[in-house]
Amino acid sequence: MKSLRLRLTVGVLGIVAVSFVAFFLYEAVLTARTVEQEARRHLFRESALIADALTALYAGAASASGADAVRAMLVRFARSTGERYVVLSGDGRILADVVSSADPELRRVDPAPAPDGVITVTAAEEGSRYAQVSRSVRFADGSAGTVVVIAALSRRTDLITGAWGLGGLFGGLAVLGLLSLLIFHVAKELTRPLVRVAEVARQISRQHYGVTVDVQGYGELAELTEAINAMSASLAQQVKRIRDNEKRLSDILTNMTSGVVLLDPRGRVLFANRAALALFSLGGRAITGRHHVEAFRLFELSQLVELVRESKAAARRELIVYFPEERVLDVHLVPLFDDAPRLDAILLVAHDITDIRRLERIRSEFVANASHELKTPVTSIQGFAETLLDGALDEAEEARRFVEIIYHESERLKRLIQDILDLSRIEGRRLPLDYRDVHIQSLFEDILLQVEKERSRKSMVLTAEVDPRLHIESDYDRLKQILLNLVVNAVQYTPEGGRIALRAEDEGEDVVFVVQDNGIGIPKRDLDRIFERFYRVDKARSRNSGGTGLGLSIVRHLVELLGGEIRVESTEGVGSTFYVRLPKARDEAL
Amino acid sequence: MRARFDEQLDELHQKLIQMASRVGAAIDKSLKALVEQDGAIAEAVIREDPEINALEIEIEQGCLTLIALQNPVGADLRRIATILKVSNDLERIGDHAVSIAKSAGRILSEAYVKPLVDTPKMGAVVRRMLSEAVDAYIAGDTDRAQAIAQEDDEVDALYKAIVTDAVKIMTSDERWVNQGTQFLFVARSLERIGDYVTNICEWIYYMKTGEIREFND
Repeated sequence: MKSLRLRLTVGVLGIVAVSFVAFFLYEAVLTARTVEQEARRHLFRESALIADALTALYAGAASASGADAVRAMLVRFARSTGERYVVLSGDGRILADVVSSADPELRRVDPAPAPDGVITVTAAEEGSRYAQVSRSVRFADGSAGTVVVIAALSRRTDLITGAWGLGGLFGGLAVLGLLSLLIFHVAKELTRPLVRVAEVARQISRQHYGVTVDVQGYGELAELTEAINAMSASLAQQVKRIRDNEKRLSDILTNMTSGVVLLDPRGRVLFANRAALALFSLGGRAITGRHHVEAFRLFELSQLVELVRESKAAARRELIVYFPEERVLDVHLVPLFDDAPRLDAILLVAHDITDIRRLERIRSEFVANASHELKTPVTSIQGFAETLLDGALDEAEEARRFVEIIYHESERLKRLIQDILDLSRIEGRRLPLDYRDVHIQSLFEDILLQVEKERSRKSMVLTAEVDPRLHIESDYDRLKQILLNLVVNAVQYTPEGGRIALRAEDEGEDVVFVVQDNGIGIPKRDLDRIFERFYRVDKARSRNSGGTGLGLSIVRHLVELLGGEIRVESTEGVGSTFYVRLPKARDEAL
Repeated sequence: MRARFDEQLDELHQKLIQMASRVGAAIDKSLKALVEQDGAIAEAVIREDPEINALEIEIEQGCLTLIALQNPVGADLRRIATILKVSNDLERIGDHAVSIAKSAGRILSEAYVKPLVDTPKMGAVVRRMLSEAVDAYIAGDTDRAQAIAQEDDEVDALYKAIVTDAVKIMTSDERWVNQGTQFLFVARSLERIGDYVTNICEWIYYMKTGEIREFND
């Protein structure tokens, strides 16, 4: 992780150290060479001086004592210079050989006479080196000789260490140490933004979007951090957009009423939305990851899925599910492909069309029933008219009876058509309502008056009971139609001498109208259905009574139109009670 | 080798569930035909039964092939044996659904002596038992299998009630003898279906434990 910083430090330090050593060596060699040259030049001059001094000494002294004076001088010289002096005669005899006691090593060197002034260097063991130079000397007798000056040269290593010394070495090391600290620090400073950038990149990959780097460093590094910050911000924005979209889509999927299921290419459930779980009654089953056969347990559906898997073409079918409750589902299956294109998933969309199918059935049943109901009086009218045409017209009494029947039947036909029209108007909400204040007692009196003829014919007791102060805001004609219908029904289905009660009860916001009779009652199994159109408890009997089979259906629709509800209680042979609950005041929202 | 075996076993497992779904739908339809006096649905149940029988044979052959070729032992063998036995029970249940549909067909045009209450209730219990048994089979849940078998008591109680009722009605008026007989047949079929579901539960128990135990005592 810190490799770059470390490498940078080590690398720079290496370069510095190499150049340091190179410089050190160069300096040392240079110094050594200068020192040696100085020593040679010194030797050269000194030897010349000594040769001149020897020539002078030999010339001025007798030969015996002269030799002692020469020796004494050479010993003195050697003592102060540390050199060796060898005086050779012309024929190579050694006349004198003086060595300083300080450097006895010099004695090991072979004096080799050479041309005048030429310096030769000989190396001995242990790195010691010696330089010798020959100079010609003239003795008193005029013969020529040679003096050889031998001097020790410094060792090279001595020269090198001499140039810098141990102190220099340690100083150099100390400087190197300090330098390394400095370089390390600089490297750290340089790499710090990189480390931070790396950390941010790592966080982004861990899905912490929107983190930024403080802009550090200069030039390229600043550019890099800025680029990373821009990338981070743009990523955060894009991810947010993706997440928002995802959430929106999942909200839509969750809350839509269509069932949506996604299957993988092998037919396993990847996803099912809430509506799908409800439509297929899968509440308690964990279906994600399960094969469709196990998940749905609907043979026809599984068959359809397999069909789509094989054909890779969309399919649609209406399925009837029986268990745990009966539903009609409109199922669409669509294969989805990836780029290959290979089957990637199968999308299943299901709609509950149970209600639609039921409404369709009711409607078609209504048409069939209405046609049947209309046909009955028409057939009757046609039959009697035919009989009249076939000759019955001639018999006045017979003819009158037939025409009366025709009239009666046409009346019924008219009522039937009127009822059907009414019903369709009410159902289509095309019936204008005329709301006004209704005094219920007056309404009741109006109703009693209308059924008075029939009541007295069947000698019934019909009572109306209401608080004379009770009012309701409603459509007078529609309210009367509702109650009159119920009272007429009660009169019709109650035997002679029966008892019918009409009541209105004040229940705060509502008024409850009660129509109670002690008639034949309604069988329990029919109670739920008596408000259906053309539903008849006893088919033969009610048709003879002249009813259209639409009365109660119209009543229920009118009650609903007025914002109320109707309910019935009945016991066969004991009587029936209808309750109509209506709001006292018109609901403005209606 | 093993992967191939698992694949084939899984295929049989799916087929069995498909068969159970079909048999369940057959019960639903036969009951609907009976309650709503719908001849078309009754005919559909009778027409589709051979397909269920064919499915059983297919499963049976698959099981036998698997046993012959793979020589399964232990849990694998018990699984295959269970599939074999359960498919057999399902086939019988399918036959009883056909009987119910046939009974419904025989009294299609007659007005029922009274609205059916206990028969649909009994049908619903039996149907729920089958659905739960499939759940237990998929989950390999022996506790649930045992609990489902307990529900058979409810079926037996309803059966007795229906028999008593039907006999009473038939003796009251001989016009109702035909209808009463059909309702007795239907109740008998439902009672048998309950027994077969109990059998299935016993096989689930065997599949998981290797122990054959009677649940209905």
